[in-house]
Amino acid sequence: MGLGLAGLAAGPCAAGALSISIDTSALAGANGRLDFTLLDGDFTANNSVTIANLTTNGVPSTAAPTTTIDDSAVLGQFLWDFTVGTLVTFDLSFTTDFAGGAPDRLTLNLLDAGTNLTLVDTELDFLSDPVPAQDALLLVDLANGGQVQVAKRTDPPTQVTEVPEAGTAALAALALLALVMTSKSRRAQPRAV
Amino acid sequence: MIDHPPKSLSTRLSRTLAAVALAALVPLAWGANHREAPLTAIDTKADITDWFAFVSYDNPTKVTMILNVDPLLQPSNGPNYFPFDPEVLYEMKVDNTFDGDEDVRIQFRFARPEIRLPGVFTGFVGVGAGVSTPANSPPPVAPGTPLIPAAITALDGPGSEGLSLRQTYTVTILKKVGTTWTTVFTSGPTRLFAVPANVGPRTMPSYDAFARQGIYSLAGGIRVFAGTVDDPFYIDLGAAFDTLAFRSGASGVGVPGVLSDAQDADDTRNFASDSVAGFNVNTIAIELPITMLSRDGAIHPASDPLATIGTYATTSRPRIKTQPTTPGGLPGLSTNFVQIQRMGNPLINELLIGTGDKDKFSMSEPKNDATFASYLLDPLLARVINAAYGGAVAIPTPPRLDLLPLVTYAPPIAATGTPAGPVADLLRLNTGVPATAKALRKRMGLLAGDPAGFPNGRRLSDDVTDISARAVVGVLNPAFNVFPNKRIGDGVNTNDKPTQETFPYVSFSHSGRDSRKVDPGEAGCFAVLPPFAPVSCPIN
Repeated sequence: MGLGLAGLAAGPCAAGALSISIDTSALAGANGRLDFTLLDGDFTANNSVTIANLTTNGVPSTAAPTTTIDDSAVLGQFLWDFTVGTLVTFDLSFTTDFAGGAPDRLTLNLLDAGTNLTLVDTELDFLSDPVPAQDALLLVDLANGGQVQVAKRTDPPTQVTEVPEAGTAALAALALLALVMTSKSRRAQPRAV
Repeated sequence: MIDHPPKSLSTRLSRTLAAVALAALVPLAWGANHREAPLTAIDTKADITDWFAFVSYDNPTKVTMILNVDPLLQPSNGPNYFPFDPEVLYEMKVDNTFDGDEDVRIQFRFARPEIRLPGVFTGFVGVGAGVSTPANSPPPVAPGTPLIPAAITALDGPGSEGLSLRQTYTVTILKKVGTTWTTVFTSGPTRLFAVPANVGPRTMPSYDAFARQGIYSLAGGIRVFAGTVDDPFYIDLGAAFDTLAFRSGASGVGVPGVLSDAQDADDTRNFASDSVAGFNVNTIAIELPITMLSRDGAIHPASDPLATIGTYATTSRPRIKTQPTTPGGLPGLSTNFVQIQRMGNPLINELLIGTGDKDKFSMSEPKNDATFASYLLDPLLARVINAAYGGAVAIPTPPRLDLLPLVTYAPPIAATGTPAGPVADLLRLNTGVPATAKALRKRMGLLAGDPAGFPNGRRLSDDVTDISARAVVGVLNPAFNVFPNKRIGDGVNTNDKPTQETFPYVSFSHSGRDSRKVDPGEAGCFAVLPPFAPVSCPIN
């Protein structure tokens, strides 16, 4: 089933960002199409997604400049055709405004460029959700800072990795350091008898 | 010498057919695609009913291709009648490299119908020179106010005022070089209007002249036409779908589903009711130079492998659609399309593919048809007919290699030496074979020695029902081209309206006001014995 909606609070929320890496070795040579689709879920035109720094095999794509899609027309879509190599990477940044009901959803599919049928079967199938998705590699529900789902079971094997942003990694490291320091400080205090 | 079957054989056939209960229900859609797959039984706007491809009758350097969609349209079904679906991508596809994959694509897109008279309750209205309000017209409409437009006589400009619903379309031709598709033709700024159905003689007097305005001559020797027309397909559909309950009253030998030699030789009469008579269909027709379709841009004689092309048609829908969020609003549509249906031969999906695989077949590409080869190599329908006739209709032993010319590049369609290519459901057309003159044209096509007939392409007049049925029971194998196999037929030998001898070849739309059907028990058939006097169509 899709992402649980319990606990999602309506209202403007902080934007989100992530970097994605996709191992496409098993599909190398295919005429592929990355299909980024933003579907409106909350019946409010309030979100956008920016796709940037698309690379294949580490080489930046000259045919895919930074692109922003939004839900102002209910459906926002960006299609990128490419010859599948061994690795695809890109950055996503997005808003996460939520007006209640179902959150807006970004879906990423890897399709055959000729037929628009999926090249990869995944477990991210939500055919009966308020915002359905099928064989997605990545889902981002635009609420609560961004609820990210990455495909774990793919056929053929197409590992999708969420790469923490440099800023995020630094914050995480600082938080861990703070935790360690706090723990040492407690041990240094004399115990009450 | 007329080949009359022995009386004892006729009796045995007749009694056996009456007695045998078929063990399996067979999804029968003989020879065309009228709602033949589960998906298109629901999505009729994307349902391809028939696909035709043939060398033009009046120009041997050109090919005509016709894509019919949206089956069994009732001519009187106003007020909106039958627009093309603006969300559907209609395509004609041509393989000229023998790999089962298209190298030329011809795309048709229809705009949302414009509503030119938004306050009028019907899509088409008109009377004579127009009608004004009478003297007793109550206020606020003053007497003498023009109210009803003049009768519709034009698609645009004067005479088109009553054409409230009007639809335009575009044509784009793409060619593949390597893996890259390049646009080589667009209809550009030319406004192409789809011809609406024939509402009736008051609203659309001189309808045929009106419809001919929808024939457009474009650059490059291309002609196009789109609109609602008479459905050229003909068949006793009711009998076919009633588990082969063909009518003994339609048989000159007294055996249901078997014709006499005299009946089979008559391409102008029907001995059973044509279930499609009186119905319309939406058509898209294009005529274009063979040089636009051949691999090297040249015209080749029939003996040259390069003369043969493989063709098919598809309908596709946007991968994603979101419904409008406001009343009367527009849906959201993704810009990439997924194929809903395809058609090459008027045979494969109907007669051979199991219902469980019909949608998968419809959404697949011909180059991958080896997946479905098992259906071809041992067709269930052949066994059904064999069983229904108690063995009197013998069939070849599988694998049915005799059916390979329908799904590979091979003689008698393609020249000797043509690469066979993969098993692929394509309607193959040898463009080096000129059209057969009308007087010599045979509804049984190649089976009757007519080289320009199905399965060498498909013309409107080809009796694909009987041809397909006979092919399934093995007549392409000389050992099985014997009675009764070679006389299998439903008794419907011709269309209810004569087709045209020039582009767009289809007969124009039936009148919504005045059309009629031809049902069992009604006039419109002929006696089964010469001199074939007019009679009511048989019920049994």
